[in-house]
Amino acid sequence: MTSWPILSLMIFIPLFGAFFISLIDGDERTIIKNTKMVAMWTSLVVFILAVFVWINFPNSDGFHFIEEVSLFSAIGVSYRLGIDGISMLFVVLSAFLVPICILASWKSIKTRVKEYMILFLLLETLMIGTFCALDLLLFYIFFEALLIPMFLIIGIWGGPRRIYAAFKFFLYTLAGSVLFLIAIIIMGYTSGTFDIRELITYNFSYQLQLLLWPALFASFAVKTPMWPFHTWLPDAHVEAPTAGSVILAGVLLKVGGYGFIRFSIPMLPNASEFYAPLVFVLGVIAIIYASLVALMQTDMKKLIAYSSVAHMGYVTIGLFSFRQEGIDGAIIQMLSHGLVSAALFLCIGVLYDRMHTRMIADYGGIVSKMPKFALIFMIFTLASIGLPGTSGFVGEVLVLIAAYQVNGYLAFATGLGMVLGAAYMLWLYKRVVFGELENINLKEISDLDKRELVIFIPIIIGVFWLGIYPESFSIEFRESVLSLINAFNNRIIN
Amino acid sequence: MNSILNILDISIAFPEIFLSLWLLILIPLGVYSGGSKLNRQSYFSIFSIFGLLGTLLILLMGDHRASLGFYDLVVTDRLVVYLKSLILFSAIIVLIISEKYRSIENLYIFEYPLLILFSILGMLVMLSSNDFITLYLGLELQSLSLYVLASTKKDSLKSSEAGLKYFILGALASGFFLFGVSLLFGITGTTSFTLLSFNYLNPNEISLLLIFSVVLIISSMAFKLSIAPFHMWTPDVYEGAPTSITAFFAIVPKIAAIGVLMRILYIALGDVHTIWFQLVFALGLLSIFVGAFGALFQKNIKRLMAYSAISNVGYIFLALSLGSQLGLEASLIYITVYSISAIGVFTFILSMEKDKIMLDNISSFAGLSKSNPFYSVCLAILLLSMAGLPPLAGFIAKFYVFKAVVVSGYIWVAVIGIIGSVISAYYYLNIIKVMYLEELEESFVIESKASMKIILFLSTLFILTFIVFADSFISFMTYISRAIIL
Repeated sequence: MTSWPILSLMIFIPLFGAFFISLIDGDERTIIKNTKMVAMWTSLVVFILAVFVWINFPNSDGFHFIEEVSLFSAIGVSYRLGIDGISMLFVVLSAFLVPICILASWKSIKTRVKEYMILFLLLETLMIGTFCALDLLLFYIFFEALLIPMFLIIGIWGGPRRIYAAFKFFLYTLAGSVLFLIAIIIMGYTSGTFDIRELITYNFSYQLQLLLWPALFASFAVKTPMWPFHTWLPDAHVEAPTAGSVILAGVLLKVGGYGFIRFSIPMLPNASEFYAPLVFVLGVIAIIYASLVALMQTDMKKLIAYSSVAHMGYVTIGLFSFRQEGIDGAIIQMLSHGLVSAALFLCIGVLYDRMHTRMIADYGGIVSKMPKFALIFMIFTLASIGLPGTSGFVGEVLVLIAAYQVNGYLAFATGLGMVLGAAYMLWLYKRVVFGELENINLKEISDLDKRELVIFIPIIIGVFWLGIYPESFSIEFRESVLSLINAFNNRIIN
Repeated sequence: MNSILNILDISIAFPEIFLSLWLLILIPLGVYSGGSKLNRQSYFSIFSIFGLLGTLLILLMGDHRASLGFYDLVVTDRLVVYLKSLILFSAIIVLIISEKYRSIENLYIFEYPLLILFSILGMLVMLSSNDFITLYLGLELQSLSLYVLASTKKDSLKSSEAGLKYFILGALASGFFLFGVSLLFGITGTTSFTLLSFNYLNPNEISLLLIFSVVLIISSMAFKLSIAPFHMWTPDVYEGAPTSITAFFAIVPKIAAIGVLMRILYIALGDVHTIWFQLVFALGLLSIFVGAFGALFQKNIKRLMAYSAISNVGYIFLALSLGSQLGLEASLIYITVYSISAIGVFTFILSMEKDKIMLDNISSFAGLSKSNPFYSVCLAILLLSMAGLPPLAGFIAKFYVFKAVVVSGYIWVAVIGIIGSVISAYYYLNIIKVMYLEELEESFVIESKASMKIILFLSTLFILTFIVFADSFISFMTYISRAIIL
């Protein structure tokens, strides 16, 4: 183990890179070229650091790589960083997706490249900070600040209704998270500390838990997003540029689920148990309703956005089953969704870059022109459905097992969602890839180039690795989840 | 206590005396000095800045320990010194950033800087006061100067209207104030803060008359601070007054009035917290919402800043109403952070000029991020801070206010207050939208003096990096606030 402040390095290297980019000067072409290179290398360095953390990660319970500097000594808020098995994988996921996003925007972003790359690196800083924060207020700071770069990314480089979508995204999330802020103040004041490690073991009174839980839920449910708080997501996804959608689906949605694991369940166990039926109902509605809505979409991005809502429904059901299988499944499902939905958005981005339309009706029969693309798109479609051997399968099966232990009807409803999931994804695939090549514009379409293959191959490797040998991931968080469940059960009984 | 030595102990009033003497020199100089008109004017700004600097220096070199003087009419302590230096400091900055505006609008009359100095003198007296009579003298001196300042743009209808409106309503508020004080005098037989705090007011025997007088005093202060429902004049005066004067209005008198209110509420009326608590509390909440909703559809950035000031002072009222050490601390942090972000925003507004015409419509900032990235980034950061987004200074200030509110046990109020801050996030965001997301109509490059750029940069830097030194800053505020609460 090193004594290097490696988490701080991962947080501040992108910030430093962003600062460096802002200093780049010269003629238009040099600026764009240098900006891209700096952003790429910065994010790659962070990824290498993340891999280093992963390799050196001790598979034991508790938080590691801890750093602590006092921030507001008067109220006990500190710059506390540390990761356990759960957050470590999310850090790796974030660090993995950012270079892919930068590569994916290599050609599609033509205006204001400098600002774009600065915002992406800023986003990386904040994402990694969110997952590393061990202080309640520090977490909130990173969590909230994430809104700013995302707002600008959607608003500046988005589609025609980008301003509406950016505002909706911003205000929805802000409204959700301010209640969280009140809850933070109350929790910090009641327990006398903002240290997450201490808060996890602190016993809040039952009445207070029942009050605090909805405040936390409001924030995380908007982020996740759960039905009926999901309406910002389709708009944000449709209008965001491809890389923005990738980060949104890949990482930002996971912050909600991560919040449930890190805060709601361990800190407010009794309230979590009390409200679990509500979460199940909302989760089931999310799965079935979002799947049905996805079936009827004409816009590919919207379809994937609704499928995200459905997939996050599995995650919440798994988490609130309070069983080893359920929580393991939820975490794997989040990681898998981070890869698969990101890849699906990238696939749509590939089509959009060529045809400048996302309407399903404009496509059809592209398999004859883009065989490589058709193969890759199929892999991710099947992974999204949850074909055995892909990452989607592991998470869904574990969640289903847990759901069955809770309630047979819950398992049935969850399973029904999987069938619907297969229906909308396969139908999408059929309409886009197979059939007659009718649209004349499609005749000129070209297959994936090298850059695009480089984007997809690491994700494909990840999807199969997670699907075939999930143990290599789950071993990292097993101990953390076990101790989470043990602590939870102890406190429920007492 | 009444020894003759107290009268001779004038060191307590050295800053005010110095400033008065400086003014006495400047007035005849202004009247009799010859030379070209323009020349005379820049000299006067520089003279005034030197006068303020000298006052600041004397203030900081003087004794900071709590002491009374002039038969207990005048007081000084750490809180007074801190607020006075904040006032002098922001006044100097406002004078520096007004230069460009004054040269464009041709506002070179020598009374301009002199009136500002007079109002500063009034504010210093207000802050020093330990008696309602001294307070009234200071209050009138500053208000009368401000009425005239609001209407300095003689050829503008809106400016004259602003001055007149401000004068009439301000005179009414002064009347309220005097009426309230006279009632208080009738009940207790004293106007001295110190005596009032020594059990002259019994919290167990609250008469209707006392409530009446407290309400009148607080309403008049609420008027000066543009707290809803006494805020009607604010948007018109902010819009009508010359922008450089608006910048002054938005920052400097607010600090003075809040400092005075701290002393009235925490010392003079400290024993009867039960009377004023609900009033100040409700006024604060109301202002947060009036400010937030009022600003939603404003097209003029000066009017928007008026509503923004209304809601920001609302947060300070919320914190002050608690009557606790934490509340006082939170309001001190808030007013400091607010002043510095307001300085930044007004520096931006005062540099927005295109072909010798000042721009104050928000729509004229469209696409500014392309033509003037430096200005847009600074304004965006300042506005996000005002909207209360972490990790900026505005977030920390709001966090402290809400923390004080929650610690006092008013969780629901904190929830309502936070909803107000979400609403206000919308219009701050709207300006950022105009600058960043809308297309540039006609490219123009803002040219300002280096001093303005430096001020804008430094205020933004302060807001951005506040979190790093927040710890030492907050413990400093705790130290300051202990001056009146032990």
